[in-house]
Amino acid sequence: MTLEAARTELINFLGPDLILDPAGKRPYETDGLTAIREEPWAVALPRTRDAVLRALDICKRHQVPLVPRGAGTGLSGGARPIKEGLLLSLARLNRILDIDLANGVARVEPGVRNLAISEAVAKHGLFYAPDPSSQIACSIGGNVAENAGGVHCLKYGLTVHNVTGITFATLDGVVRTVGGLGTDPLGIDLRALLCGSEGLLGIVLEVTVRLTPLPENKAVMLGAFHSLADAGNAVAHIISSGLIPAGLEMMDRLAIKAAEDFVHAGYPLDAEALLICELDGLALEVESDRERVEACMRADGAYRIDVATDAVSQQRLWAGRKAAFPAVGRLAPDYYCMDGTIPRVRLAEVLDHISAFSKEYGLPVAIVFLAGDGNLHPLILYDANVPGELEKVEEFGSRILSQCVAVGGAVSGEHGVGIEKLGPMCDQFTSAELEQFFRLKAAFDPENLLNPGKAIPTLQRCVEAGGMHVHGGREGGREPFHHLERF
Amino acid sequence: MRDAAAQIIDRIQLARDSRTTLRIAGQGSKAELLGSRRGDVLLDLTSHCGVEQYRPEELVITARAGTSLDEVNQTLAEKGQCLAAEPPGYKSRGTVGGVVASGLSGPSRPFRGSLRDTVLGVVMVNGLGERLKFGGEVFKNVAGFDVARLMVGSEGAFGVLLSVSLRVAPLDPAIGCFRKAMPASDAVSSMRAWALKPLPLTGLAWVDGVLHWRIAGAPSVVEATRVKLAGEEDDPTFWTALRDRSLPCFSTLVNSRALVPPSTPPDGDDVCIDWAGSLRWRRGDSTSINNVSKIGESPLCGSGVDPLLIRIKAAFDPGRIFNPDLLHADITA
Repeated sequence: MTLEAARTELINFLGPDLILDPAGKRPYETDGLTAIREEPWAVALPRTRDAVLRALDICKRHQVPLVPRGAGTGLSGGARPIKEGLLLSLARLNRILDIDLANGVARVEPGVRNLAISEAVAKHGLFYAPDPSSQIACSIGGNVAENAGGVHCLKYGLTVHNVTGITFATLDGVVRTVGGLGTDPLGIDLRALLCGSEGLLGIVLEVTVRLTPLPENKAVMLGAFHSLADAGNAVAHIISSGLIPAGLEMMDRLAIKAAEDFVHAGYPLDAEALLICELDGLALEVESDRERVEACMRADGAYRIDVATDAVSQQRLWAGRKAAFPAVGRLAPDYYCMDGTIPRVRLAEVLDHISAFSKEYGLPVAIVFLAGDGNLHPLILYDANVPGELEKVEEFGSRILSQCVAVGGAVSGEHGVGIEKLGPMCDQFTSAELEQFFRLKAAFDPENLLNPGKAIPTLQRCVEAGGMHVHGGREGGREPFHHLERF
Repeated sequence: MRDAAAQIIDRIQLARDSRTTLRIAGQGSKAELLGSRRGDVLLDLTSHCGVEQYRPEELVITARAGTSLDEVNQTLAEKGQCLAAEPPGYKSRGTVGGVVASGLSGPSRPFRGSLRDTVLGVVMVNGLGERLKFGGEVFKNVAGFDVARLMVGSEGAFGVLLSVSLRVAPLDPAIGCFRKAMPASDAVSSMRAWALKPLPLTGLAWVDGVLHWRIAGAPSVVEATRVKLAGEEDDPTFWTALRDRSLPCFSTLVNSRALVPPSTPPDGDDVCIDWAGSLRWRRGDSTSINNVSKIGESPLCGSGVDPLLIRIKAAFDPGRIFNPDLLHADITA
């Protein structure tokens, strides 16, 4: 690796679009996972596809590792820089290239903000469905890298379900397009593999997204319950009654209180659990679905149900939930947001474990549960200024994720693995599976220069971290890492 | 219901060690469309069958690869659920593993998502004879690369599926089927106009000078949409026949399958237009449009395979023991 030579070449063609001074690099030291920082060697802010390809070529020739970055809103440290690597920001490739109404798609560059797409097509009665909470800032390239979800993904799917084409570059300079304006490609479909690959397989240069007709009508309902178990049952009943709401989320007492204190959404403070349910579709459909949801909630003990049919009150009901993370953040100097998924039927059991851990560590936890799709966001409250507390929180968090894996879930539902969940990944995957991931990465990036060290833990790391649990109910009877030495 | 995973893994390890190749097969229902695979020894997966787990309230079913599609559909229907992508089981046959490996979705695809979209996880065996699990039984899961969905449409080139977890959907309370005679070009215009509106469509296809559409949802919604779109009542079996390629045109006229931008103007070669314009069953196998595959041939065969796909194949199956006629470099052809 000859950083000097690479620097000279990069300066020569990027000029002011290459940032080398410490002050200029500071905003790029971290992404949405702010607890972990690193100063990048250099930050490139290319404005064109050609400039991106040239930067890739320089990195390849000089063997400089490269970390791609979108808007930097990721919550798992996927865009954390590498000390001796180039941070490649794609934020300036931010043009909407084409709104193709005939085919119902939009072609955009990776730096286009998620919400900007919906804003651009609203006048045609369309929107881009995935709506992560950061949608005002996050970019579509980052959404592809993380397979971003959102409040409405229960009905409309994640990024992977709403992207028809991806143009990406590998480090050898080859640019490929998978899919396109049509519904699906013929043969091998690499789109799903690229969605959620966290910048380890290629650099996204262009994305074609599917546009969805805006629903004619919408209703947001709020149900208050005396216990989390009742609210959980109501969710199960709503789903088994044959309804797929646009959104279905649950908050526990601490989250409700924090949100209410923060945005005054009108949440009942005596509730142990709140269920927020959004229904959309044709007016007739919303009306009949609303009656069914109400019946389910009542049957499971909802003691108060509010229905918002106008945009203002709908926004108010959602405001509390959408502000839940920052609201909880006001309760303590710091909070740590976890992101596991579980089969919904195991919710009560997992919550019991979390509450036991909470007592054990002496750290309060607020729960936000994306109930429709089993995505659990426990928010652990702590104070990073207390020596040792961050380590305690990380251990606490890892144990929650192990619990998610033990009941048949996953260590990340939507935030990605990044650097944050490398440890818990050892719980979810065996050494053979991790090695398969690495061989797959090598097929795209044989020199391991694209975002190395992220998303997939090395076997060495798993052994050192003691990640040698035998999975509960896991078939095969193999002990992970059986061929490695133990420390 | 039978668990033959151990025997399957044994046979794969034997093939790996003895350097013999395997041709992977289920019930063989897709051979007519995708051709038959080559390989020294047949690896029949139909003996590994049965639904392993079904949780209606979680919207997920896990079935062994050899489970017949019929069994899965029946199991789901008993609880008022279905596979939203309507994967086809040709000639009343077909297995879960086969349809996932073929990556085929039915007429509802543009409206309710593809079969790939519903795949949540797989248990598979790679060419090293290792049993691997990717994804799981939960809808949201971004841990590790999405190998489960990569398997969809890979026709066994990367590995042998042992079981698949699929997201399921509620059955529609009411369905309405309608038709209206019109030329293909008008049909494509109507398809594109309707596809951009919030209509409860689950099918939009043209064949033999007739546009067919299907709407689904609450009875009141179906009724209101029926009035809005104004067509004649249609026979609902049209949609199963279209899904299963048993309409008369498929036995005589269709020679190729093309996946195109949906607004592509029809030409004389388009015998049947499905997926709101995106899927064309064509008379010739002209190369005037991309993404065309001849009936009876796999799109993964032939020349001009992207070297990246060959490297991916090698990452899973370094000894090339699975379906060796797929994804090979030109030099060896």
